[in-house]
Amino acid sequence: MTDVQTPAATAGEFEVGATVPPFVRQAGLHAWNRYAAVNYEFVDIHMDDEAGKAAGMPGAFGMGNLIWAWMHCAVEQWVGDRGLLEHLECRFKSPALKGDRITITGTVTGRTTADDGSTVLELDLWSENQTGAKTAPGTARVRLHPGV
Amino acid sequence: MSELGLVRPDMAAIVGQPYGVTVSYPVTASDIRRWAIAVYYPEAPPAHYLDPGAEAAGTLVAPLDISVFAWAAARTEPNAKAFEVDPKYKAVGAMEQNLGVQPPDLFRALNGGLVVDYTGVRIRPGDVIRSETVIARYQEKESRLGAMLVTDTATTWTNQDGERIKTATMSLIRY
Repeated sequence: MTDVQTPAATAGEFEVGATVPPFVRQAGLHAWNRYAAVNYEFVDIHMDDEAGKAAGMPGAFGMGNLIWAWMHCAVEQWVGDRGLLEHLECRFKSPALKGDRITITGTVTGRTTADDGSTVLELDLWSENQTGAKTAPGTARVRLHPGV
Repeated sequence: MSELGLVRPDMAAIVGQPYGVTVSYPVTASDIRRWAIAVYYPEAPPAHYLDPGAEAAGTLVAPLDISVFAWAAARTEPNAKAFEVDPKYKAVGAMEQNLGVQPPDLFRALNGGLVVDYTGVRIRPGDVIRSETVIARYQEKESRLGAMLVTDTATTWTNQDGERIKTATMSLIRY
């Protein structure tokens, strides 16, 4: 079970214009509490509606760090062991609210070949909610292993 | 003094100086599995995280975004320059006091974003991680909310062999 086969890229999967397969999760206390438990992020605004309202939101709201984690998951599920995320950056424009359907997706905006034969992909990568509003726009760079 | 008057000379002088040096407990396989399960919930994480043979085979690596300091640190290196400030400074994320400098009188704050660069060195069970932070840059900006101070803090993690794992930069906007 520890041997991992590196699957070949499917046609167009890593070409400019390709879509990062959507990683979709529902925001809410079930996800936030689990994240709080591993990241020791027990902050009232993420647990209590009254605290969220006092901060100007409709109720408790999700952690930016969890959106950040989901961006990593989206890249990991897509690339697997065929490459590695080298760079990620994003701005948190608006938080996830209870019941929001959060989708992490993106597009390949650039593709170059490095001297060692690896392929470097530039990505636009973002979080959007069920209205299509981008709540955390970002960019990323992935290096695919030679031969992928 | 800087153009907008937000960066005092004593603040400019601490750019690049390390603070917040912290050393983790050894990372465990359970730390890695729990993090992966939590961030992939409600679906299972990729199978290699749950493979019971992965740790012994040396193939278990942590998710890139794992925090190994979340609950506790084994050691924080003492910093003779640090002093206590009024909680109202800490509430907006002030860090200058860690380097012996009074923070600026700016009491509103925004998260300006996150940037991370990974080297490809992965965290594995048994690793002991050292974290060190510097103020990488001050920038001043004019906005509709007035003069703003953007502070980039860069935190670098290295493992017990001195290999750099990542540098994460946070932009704190105070105004």
